[in-house]
Amino acid sequence: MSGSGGYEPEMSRPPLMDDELCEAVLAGDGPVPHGLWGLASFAEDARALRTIPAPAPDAVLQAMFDAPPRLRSIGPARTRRRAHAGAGARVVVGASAALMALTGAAAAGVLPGEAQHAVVTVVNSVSPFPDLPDGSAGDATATSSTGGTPSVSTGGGHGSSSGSNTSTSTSSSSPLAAAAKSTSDPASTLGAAIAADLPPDWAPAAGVEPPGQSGETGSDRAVTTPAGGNGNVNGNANENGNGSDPPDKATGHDKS
Amino acid sequence: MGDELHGVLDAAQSGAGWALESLYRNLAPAVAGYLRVQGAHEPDDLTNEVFVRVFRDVGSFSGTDAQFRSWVFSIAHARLIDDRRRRARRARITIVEIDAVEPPATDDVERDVLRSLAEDRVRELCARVAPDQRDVLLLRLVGDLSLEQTAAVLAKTVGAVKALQRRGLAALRRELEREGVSL
Repeated sequence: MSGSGGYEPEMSRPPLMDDELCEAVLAGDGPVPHGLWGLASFAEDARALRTIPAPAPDAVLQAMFDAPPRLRSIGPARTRRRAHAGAGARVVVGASAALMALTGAAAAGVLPGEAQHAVVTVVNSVSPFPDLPDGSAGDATATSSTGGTPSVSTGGGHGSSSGSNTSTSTSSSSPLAAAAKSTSDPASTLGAAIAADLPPDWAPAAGVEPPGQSGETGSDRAVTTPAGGNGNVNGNANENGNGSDPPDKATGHDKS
Repeated sequence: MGDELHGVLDAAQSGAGWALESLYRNLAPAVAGYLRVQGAHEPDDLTNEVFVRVFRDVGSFSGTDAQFRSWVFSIAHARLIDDRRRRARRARITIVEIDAVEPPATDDVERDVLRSLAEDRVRELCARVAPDQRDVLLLRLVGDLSLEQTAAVLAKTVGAVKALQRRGLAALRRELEREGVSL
């Protein structure tokens, strides 16, 4: 018979498992109460498993270490895409503004002689407006009529247009050309307006005719210059059944 | 993980190979231990698969280092469940004897033996508790995850994880008392 009347001593009674005791056992950083040594030993053995060396990386993993895959990064990538798009847009807007300013200055005839000649030559070679003096109009027509690749692209449709579309855009018998010739020429009207704004002492450079004196109309140039091969012409070709491209293909340049 | 990996995760997300290797060195031992003690059939192969998946998707991860550890163990736990399902389908056709998988050997033979015995002991004891209790205990002990991290891995509330670990430890204590170990 024990003096305690059969009661277990307080020290040997296992404690109740509360959250605090659980955390102490799992962490293993405090004194372990009596009766939980087995649990503490189990927890220690389990913790030791995380120190076993990792398996050697296989070939796939090693290849990733050597040449990391192209990682996806949703947020930053979108930001970068927007940034690129913004930079591209700024370049295009800036170039457009500079070109418009240069063209306007050339139209007003305020540029120095050599610069005026150069700008007028370029503008006349790429634009359907005939009213700026241009000594190389025949070259542009020849290039277009022989089907040569234009040096300056002024609109969509070149990449996606079919052969029939191209021939439509360069043929003088195309519906567009006929329509352009049969209607009043807005380009000529604009050219006359620009000519009216020219200073009275404006003198053409050598080989450059005054505005409106080249004998070539704006509609002629619209048909024969690369600008005539843009989406409008392709749309016309599709209406005539010459092209099988879907309407959105005609503006493929715009998409890209 | 924590201070020792400060900045490594950012570098890994930027595509630095050394950072991926560093993450693997730091996290793979715990992941492999967790998969091994959970009875994965090919724990080393599964560990490699887990990290291939982790590194493939690390660019889309957003969170702290602690959350990254939870994320890695989420993938490991999901792969473990897939592995069990795969083996269960195979078991309908053929009976496969599942042997304990030996961990990689090191130069210290005595330590290797002790580790192997400890692993066997942990696996044997864990086999006696309910699966969800076992998941909680092993994620906390082998995975070194906090209550919150464990809850995130298992998609449970912290309260539910607390209850599971309490019941799991109580069950283990009963098993140990039955063996006469605890006193």
